Amino acid sequence: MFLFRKKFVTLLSVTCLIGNVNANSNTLFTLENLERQRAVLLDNLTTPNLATYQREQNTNKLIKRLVDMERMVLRDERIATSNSIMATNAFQNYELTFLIHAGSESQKSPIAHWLYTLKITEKSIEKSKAGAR
Amino acid sequence: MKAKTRKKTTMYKQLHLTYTQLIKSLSLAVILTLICHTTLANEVPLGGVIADWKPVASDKLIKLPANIIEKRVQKDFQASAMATRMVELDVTMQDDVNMIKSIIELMPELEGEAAKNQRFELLQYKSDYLDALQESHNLHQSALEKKQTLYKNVLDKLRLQSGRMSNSETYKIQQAQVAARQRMEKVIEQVDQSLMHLGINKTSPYTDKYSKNLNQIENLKMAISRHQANQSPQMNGVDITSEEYLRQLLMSVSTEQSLLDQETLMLSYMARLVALDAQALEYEVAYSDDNGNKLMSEINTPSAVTTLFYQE
Repeated sequence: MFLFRKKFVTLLSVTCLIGNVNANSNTLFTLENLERQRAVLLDNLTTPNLATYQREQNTNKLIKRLVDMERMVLRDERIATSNSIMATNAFQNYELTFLIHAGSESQKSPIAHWLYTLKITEKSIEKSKAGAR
Repeated sequence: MKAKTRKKTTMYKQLHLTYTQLIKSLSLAVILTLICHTTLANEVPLGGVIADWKPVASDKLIKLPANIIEKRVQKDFQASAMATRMVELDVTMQDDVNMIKSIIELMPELEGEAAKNQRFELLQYKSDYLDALQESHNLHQSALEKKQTLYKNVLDKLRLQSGRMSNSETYKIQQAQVAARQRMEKVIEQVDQSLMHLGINKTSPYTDKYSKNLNQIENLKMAISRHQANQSPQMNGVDITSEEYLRQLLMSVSTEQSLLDQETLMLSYMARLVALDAQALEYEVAYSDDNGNKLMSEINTPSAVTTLFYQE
């Protein structure tokens, strides 16, 4: 009986330990990684000194990585416990946060989907003027 | 002879007086029982120990599954002074009922004074039984009221908790994540195919291992949901929420209360009957054919004494 109780207490403490590990780790780790990679993808699109072939190759690599990252974020239950505005905004703006999956949904490439969501067209780019805000 | 008669008369008068007084006091007791339905007899029984039960809707209680809450409350009640007193009363009532039955069986065989004595004893046992029954009813009523308050408090706290949960940021993010995940799951295959179009044929280590682990995770989740200690409360074999279960408990408490009210009405009618019996016995003792008076009247009639006035 004593041994059983001891084992039960050990099991309980293991459960608590797992809980604490989850509680102490950075709950937004996966989301932060996704945002970092997304920024790299957009940077890859807007960097002027890249050859088309190079840009395409980089984009494909980044898309492959982003597919996994988007799924990780959507499956990571720790994000909800963060209570952060970053997490709220990420899920509110699904079209922009989960570019690859949202793009596939609208039958567009991730970059085209990003431009479409932000209503950036050829005309709007032509009309735009460079200057200080 | 006269002295003897006087003595007899005085004895009868005294006997009448004692009977009448006893029956009057018995009637008074029964009538008092009838009137005082809301006495505090349940609070302080004869032993002097307060037969009370003070359940509290503690946080520890609220964390328990709803079906366990009911069992815990019942266990706590059974360990209380109130439940102990109820058991004592049940035993007393059973004894009284047995005595009443045996007296009723004996009654037809008795006559005269012995029959009157038995009737008097019967009324006393009936009165005792009704006293015990009333105290038991009051205790039941009090216990039901306390249970009702307790279940209401538990329900309120559960609602408050779920309200807090549904209003919290965590809950909102959780809901948004669930919605986003569902949206993503619809296009997973489409995305995987588009990756193949881009020339990325090899799946990532994350995708490989995730799909392998997913089955195992599903099995573990199923085992957890099927586990006895994690089962949701059931009502007629159907799974229900804790709130629903508590509402059902409250309903059953009010059902018991209404039945108890009905029983209280029966108790009052029984008390009335005992009071009427006592009154009848009182009248009978006070105004029935009086042997003493008869004896006196027989002696005092002229025909009985005529022989004293002449000599044959």
